[in-house]
Order: sequence, then C-alpha cells, then structure tokens
Amino acid sequence: MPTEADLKQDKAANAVQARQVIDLFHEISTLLNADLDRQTLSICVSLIENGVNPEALAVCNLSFDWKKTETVVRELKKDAVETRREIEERDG
Amino acid sequence: MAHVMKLGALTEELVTLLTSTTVKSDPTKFSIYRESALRSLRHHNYARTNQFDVTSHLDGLEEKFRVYNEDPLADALRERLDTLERKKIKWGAEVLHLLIELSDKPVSNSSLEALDFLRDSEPNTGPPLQWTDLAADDPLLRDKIWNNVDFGAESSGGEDGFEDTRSESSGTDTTAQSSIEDELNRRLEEYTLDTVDKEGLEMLRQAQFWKQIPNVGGIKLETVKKPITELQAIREVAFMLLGLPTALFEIDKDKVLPSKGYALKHASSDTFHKLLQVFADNGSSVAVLRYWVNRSQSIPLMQTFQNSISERLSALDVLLSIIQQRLVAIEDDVVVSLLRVQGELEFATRALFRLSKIIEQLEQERYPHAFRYLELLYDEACTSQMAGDDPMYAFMGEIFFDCFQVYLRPLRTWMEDGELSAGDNVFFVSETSADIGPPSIWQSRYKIRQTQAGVLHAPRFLRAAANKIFTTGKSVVVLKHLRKITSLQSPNTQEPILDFVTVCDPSRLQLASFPELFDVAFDAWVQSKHHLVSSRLRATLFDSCGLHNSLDAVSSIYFMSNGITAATFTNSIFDKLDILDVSWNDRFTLTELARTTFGSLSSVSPDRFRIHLLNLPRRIKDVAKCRRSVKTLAAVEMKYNLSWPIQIILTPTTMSSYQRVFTFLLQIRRSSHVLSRQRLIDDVLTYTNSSDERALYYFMRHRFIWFTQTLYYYLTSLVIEPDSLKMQEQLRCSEDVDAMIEAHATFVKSIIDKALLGIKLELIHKTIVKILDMSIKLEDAQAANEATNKESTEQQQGMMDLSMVSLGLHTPKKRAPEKPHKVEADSTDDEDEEKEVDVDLSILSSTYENEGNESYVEKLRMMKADFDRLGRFVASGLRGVARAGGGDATRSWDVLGEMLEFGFESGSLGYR
Repeated sequence: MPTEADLKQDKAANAVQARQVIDLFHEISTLLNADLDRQTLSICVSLIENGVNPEALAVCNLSFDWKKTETVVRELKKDAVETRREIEERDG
Repeated sequence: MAHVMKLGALTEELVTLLTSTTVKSDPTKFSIYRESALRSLRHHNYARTNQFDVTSHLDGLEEKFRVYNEDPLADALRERLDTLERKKIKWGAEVLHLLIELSDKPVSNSSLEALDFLRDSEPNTGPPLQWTDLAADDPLLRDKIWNNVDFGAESSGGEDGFEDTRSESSGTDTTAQSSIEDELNRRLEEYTLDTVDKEGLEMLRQAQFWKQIPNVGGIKLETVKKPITELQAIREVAFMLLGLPTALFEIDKDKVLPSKGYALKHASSDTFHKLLQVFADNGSSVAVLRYWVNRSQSIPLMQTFQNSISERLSALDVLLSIIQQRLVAIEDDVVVSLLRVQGELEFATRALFRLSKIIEQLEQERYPHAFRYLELLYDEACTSQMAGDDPMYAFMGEIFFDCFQVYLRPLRTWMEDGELSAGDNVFFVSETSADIGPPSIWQSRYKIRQTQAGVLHAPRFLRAAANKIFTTGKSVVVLKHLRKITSLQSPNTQEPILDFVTVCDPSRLQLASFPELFDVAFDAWVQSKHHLVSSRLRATLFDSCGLHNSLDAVSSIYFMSNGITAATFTNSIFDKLDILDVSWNDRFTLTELARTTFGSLSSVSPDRFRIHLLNLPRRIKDVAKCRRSVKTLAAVEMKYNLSWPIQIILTPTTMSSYQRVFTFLLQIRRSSHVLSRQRLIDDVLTYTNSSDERALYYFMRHRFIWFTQTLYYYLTSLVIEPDSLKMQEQLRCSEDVDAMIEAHATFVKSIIDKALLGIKLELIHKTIVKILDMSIKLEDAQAANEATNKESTEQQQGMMDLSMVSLGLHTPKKRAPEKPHKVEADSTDDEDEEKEVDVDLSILSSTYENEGNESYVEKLRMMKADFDRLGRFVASGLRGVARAGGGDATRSWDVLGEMLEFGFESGSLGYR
C-alpha cells in the first residue's frame, strides 16, 4: 500500500510535470500565434484528454469567439441605433 | 455518464472563459452558448488527428520560418517540439493539431518577445515561500537546536530532556523529502517507557546505609556508629576483596584500613573491629597484587608471573562470587556469618598474602634479575613443604613450575639448536658480539654471564647444571658448523615433563624434599638433551675429524715417537750447526726439511707443517756461538696446524707445552749426537797423548753418554709412553667433550711436570742443560786436542823428514794428508741418501778464543769435577723434591733421581 507520503509525492511530481507540459504548449501556441491564454489552453487540453476531437474544438473556439461577435454585434447595434436616429431626424 | 458530466463541466468553463459570461450573469445566453458548443463538440464529421500530418505541418512551418529569415523563431519552435517529443505526452499530437488550427499567420505575427512575456509572468504563479516550507526542507531549522539547553534539568528521575524533540517534531507536517527523520523521531519516542518507580528508588535509598545518619527520635546523632546488618558487612568485605571501593574500608595508599564508623548490632565494636582488621590486612595484600598485575612488563618471564597471579586472583573472585551467590540467590537455608566467610577465604587469602610478600620483596630489591622471583618461589615451596603445609606447597609449586616453563624456553632453544635470542638478558649464556671464527667457538664465542660479584647469572637452584647446559649448546653449535646435525629433535625421545604433578607427585613423593626432587627432575631433563648431542659430537670428532690421527701426528712430531724420521730431521740440523753453516736456522730450509722427513709418516700431513724460528739475541747470533750451547735449539719451534674441531680438544696452550717437550728432547738428542759422532775405530797410543788424558776423556765420554741416554730413556719410556696410553684410554672412555678436554689437559700437565719442565724443577732443568752443554764442550775440547796433536805430530814429522832429508835418508811418503782421515768422523757409510757430511771438528778449535790456554788434561779434570757436582746436585734435588711433595710426578722424579744417583755414586768409585 503506498503511503500517504508516496501518494503526495506522486501527486506533486505529477503537478510539476503537468505544469511543465502546459508551459510548453503555451509557448508553442505563442509561437504559432494561436492566441490562447493559459486557462483556455488547459481546459482545451483537458477536453482533448477526454476524447474531444481537436478540429471540432478549434472550430468551436473560433466560431465561438463570442467576444468578437459580441463587439461586432454591439457595434452593429450601435450603428443601427444611430442610423435609425438619423432617419428619424430626417423624416421628422 | 460521468464522462458526459465532465465534458459538460469543462464546456461550461470554456464557454465562461471565451464569452466572459457565467451561469449567473447571463443564464439564457450562457445556456445557448453551452448548447451550441456541446452540439458542435459532439456531432462533427472531422476525422481523427493524423499525427504525421501534424509533424509534417509543423516541420513545414519551421522551414517557412527559416525561409522568411525568422531563424530565432524557427529555433525556438524546434526546441519546444523536441522537448515535447521527448516527453511523450499522450495527447500531444491532438493538442498540436488544435494549436495548428488555431494558429493565425504565425510567420508574420508571432515574435520571440511574446515568449519572454510568458517567462516573465511565471514566477508570480507559484505560492509564496513560507518559513514552514523552509523548515520542512531543512531539519536544522526545524529542531529547536538553537535554543538554550537547560543543563540543570538532568536528574535520574526526570524526563525533561526529551521534551524538546517531542514537541518540535509534531509541528512539522510537510510534504518535504526529508520527512523520514520525522518518522524516526516519532518511533523513538514510542519506545520510551515511563518508568518512574518510586518504590524502587526508596528501597535503593534505604540500602545505601552509608548515607543514613542514625537518629533517635528524629534527632540526628553524628558521632554514634552506624548500625549495619551482617549481610551488608559481608557484602562490603566481598566488594573490598574484589578491589572495589567500599564504605566500610578506607584505602590509604596501598593499605586497606577499616573505617571506624560502623558497628554490628549484635556484636561488640571491638570484636567487629578486629575482624574487620583481619579482612583489611587480607585486602591490602590482594590490593598490592592487583596493582602489580596491572603494571605492564616487557620480559616474558615477568609476564608469566603476572599471568599466574592474575589466575589466582580470578580464582579468588570466583570464590567470592560463589559466597555472594549463596547469600543472594538462596537455595538452601543459609546462615549469614562473617566468620564463616572468613573461614572460607582463609586459605586463598593466606596464599595471596605470601605472594604479596614476594612482590614486596621484589620491589624492595634494587635491580633484581627477572628470575629472582623464581628463587623466591622456590624458597617458599621449600619452606612450606618443610612446615608440612601441603596446600601451600602445592600452590607455590604450581606457580613455580608454570613460570619455570617460560624460563626453560631459551634453555631449550640453546640446547637443541644452539641458538640464542638477541637481547635476552635473562638466560645466562651470552654470545660475544665480535665475529669469531670456528676455531674459537668452543672457547670464546659463547660466555656464561656472571654478575659483578662473579656469581653465575642464573637462579641458585640451576647453578650445578649450568655448565652442562652450556657445553650442550656449544656442542650443537660445533656440530652445526660441521654440518653433522640439522635438528636435534628426534621424534622418539620426548623430554621429560617438568610439572608440579609429575615432579612432586604428592601421593608418592610426599616425603622427599623439594630441592632434591627438583634437582633430579631437572637433571633428567638436561640429560635428555645433553646425552644425544655430546655422544654425537664425540663420535664425530673421533671418526670424521680424525682425532686419533691428529694425536698420532702430534706425538710423532713433538715427542719424536718415530725415531728414524726424527733422527733424520735432527741430525741434519746438528750437522749444519757443526759445520758452522749459517743456514741452520733458515726457516724455509727447515720447513722443507721437516716436511720431507716428518711428512713421510702416514698420520702427518705435510701441508700443515710450519717451522717458526724465534729471534735469537744478537750476542749469540753468530753460528759458532750458537752451536756451543743447546739452549739455542729452543729457537726452533714446530707448528703443526690442526683442524679446528680438533683444536677444541688439543688447545693451543697445550700445544705450547708440546713444544717445550720437543725442545728438551731435541737438546738431549743434540748432546748425544755430538758425543756419538765420533766412531772410534782405533786409537793408537802415541807419544803425544798420555794414557791419563785418554782414559779421562773416555771416562767422561762414557759418563756423558750414560747420562743423556738415561735421561732420554726416562723421558720417552717412563714418562711419555705410559701417559699417552693412559690418555688415549681416557679419551675413549670419556662421555662428552668436556671430559675429553679435561683428559688431554691433565695428560699434558703431567707430562710437563714429569719431564722436569715444571716451575718447581726449573733449577734442575737448567742444571741438566748445563750438563748437556758440557758434553759439547768435551767433544770440542777433544777435537781441539786432536787437532793440536795432529799439528804437533805433523810438525814433528816434518822436522823428522827434514832431518832425514838433511841426513840424506829416504823420506817416506808424506802421510800427513792421510792422517786427518783417521780422526775424521766416519759417518759416511751408513746413510745412503744422506749427503756425506765430513765434519772436521778440527776447525772448531779456532773458535775457542776465550778459553784459557789450559792443558787438555786440566780441562778434562775440570769438566769431570763439574759434571760430578752438577750431576749429584740433580740427583739429590730430584730425590728431595720427590720426598717432599706428593702426586704422580714425584714418583717419576723419584725414579729418575734414583737412576742418576746410582750412576753418580758408582762413578765416584771409579776413576779419581
């Protein structure tokens, strides 16, 4: 039976190992200009470890770049609002 | 389902991150996003990742970097990829695929600075370092080593000392690698038992009776003696005898004294004190012994003594522990009695008391030998045997023999191998340090050590046997030199055991005294070694070294036992002297002569010959003067070299005695030779000499011849011959080499004495030599007379011839030249090989310059008177000395004296 200490030691080693790997992936992603922050990357890695197809995930990531879409939509909305105001001013 | 749940959770998280909406903030949007994400993640048509594609894509990208002159980027990428490959991550290829899909124009957009940004941000991610973390890593920081220790807290009862570690180790609870020490500490503490035993402590304090001060009703009385039980007293005595410090006895330097502060409850203090005194005396002796045993000794003899004493002391210890055991581990009913203990220890303490006296005596003597204690033990054994104290006798005897065995070791090696160990000052044989050759092995190489008082350096009881031991060793050395012996140890004979039980067997030999028993046993031991060696040496000397041969050779040379060869040798010398040949004392000629003459004998080996000539004083260097006296013949010395083993017996001092006898014989021979030289064929009465002269001359000559012959006969037949036979007999019968040396030495001494060469008879010897000189003078005178007669006859004849011629008568042939033939010595016919020596004694007449011009008759008459006088003196002197003293020689002197007396007595009746 592995003792507590051993388990803890293993966990610690694993943690260190995992951190190193994540660092590596993060560096590669930076080099490849993938624009992923650490947390996102770690979640993606966890998802991939659970069997998610990476292409799908990539598509999901890209397509669900909600921040951009959100700003675009907001801007569009803002434009729409401004346009409506302009139209109302002209009409009225 | 768990998988799905996990997936859901992760997706939620992803959505949260990407859209910065949470479940709480914007639930509808969140759920929409989540659903769509899940849908896209689950239902898709994408193929599995092809890792070769991935690698090739990445390689292509790297090359693209390089083409676009972005070498650092390419290197960085390469490095990361290599590291990744090394690590072999399970989903590595998939993640790379993801990253590739997400990558957005890396060539133009990515830069190395981004990496630096990454690196800079990292240190902030770790948790802050805390003191507990450091303490966990480093045990030195953990333990409160650096606290001040309370030294005063040490006490037999307290357990304060362990508190620190105990409290400290519980504080650390870390995941550091050095947590093993924690475990150990904890385990140690588990082993400590809480043994605070109050009752035991109290009992202990009770038993320490010396600390208790008697009190009556609470008042402490300091001056009253403390009461102790008898059991405690016995224990104290036992401890004291074991050499441990006690409260009941005080140790004052070497003496043990009973302390006065204690008393037994049931005995009077005087009795108790006396008893304690007895024990204290015993304790003193035991203490002395113990102290002495612990001193380091370098000599093995002392070490065995120490060993024996320590054995006896340990026997005492065993006895004491048996006594104590009987009282402590009680099996039967036992009475606690101090007197009984004393009785049980009585013999042991008495014996040890005597031993301690021996030690004290050893200490007091200044510079004792190492074996002095052997003598003391010997004495003790003798006295205890005589006092009838058998146990003490056995005790001392055993110790004595144990130590004696060690003393015997060098003796044994000496007697068996002839070897001495260097630096051994205990054994009484020592070797001289100079390099001495074989001839003097016997005499001077080994010496018996003696003290300054001239006493033998050996225990008193060994002195009688010391010589035997000495000669045994020397014999072994000689035999080794002759290579006749390799080792003496023959497997059959075993040396007798020298042990107390064997030597002084109490059952059989109780009544025999110890010195006698010891002497007998030791003699047997010595003999067992001595006998074999000495008999072998004797046999060797007789057989291979040719003792008989040497003896024969010596006697034939020095005693002239073979007359013919001796005569040849001596006569040639005498002839040379008579013709005044200067080379008579030439060493080389003489040696050559000796070798040819004596060397023809079988027992003589001519190579060993050497003639040594002493230097003559200058006044008689002249050969003419030399020949007048026989004393000069003493200059001729014969030296015959013997082989060195023979020289052990025929020592050089005896050789000089042989030489003296030889000289004497030579001198007698000289005179007889001179006298008998002239063979008188006829002697015609002429008118030139009267009957007076001739009668006197012949008378004298006859007397001289008789004298020399008697003397020679006496020397050879009555002295040398019987003594030699006796000596040979004794040599054959002697048991060892010393006896042989003794026999030979006595032989030589007796010969010297009997041959009138001793100190007592020096005057007589001189007188005899004078007589011998006189014989030469007689002959010379006679020759001179003849010469003058011849001259005068010639003169007369010449005158007659002249007158005849003048008268005109017929002159006969000159017979003058023929006449000398008559008087010449006719010694030529006999010897074939000898050179013909025609000695004309007439030439000697000219040498007598100092002689007065007395007439021939007068000279003769004087000579006769002198001869009578001297001869009578010799005879009466001999008779007188023989009457005076006793001994072998006197008998011979008596015989000689009688013979000479007879001659002189009868002679006086002869011619006037």
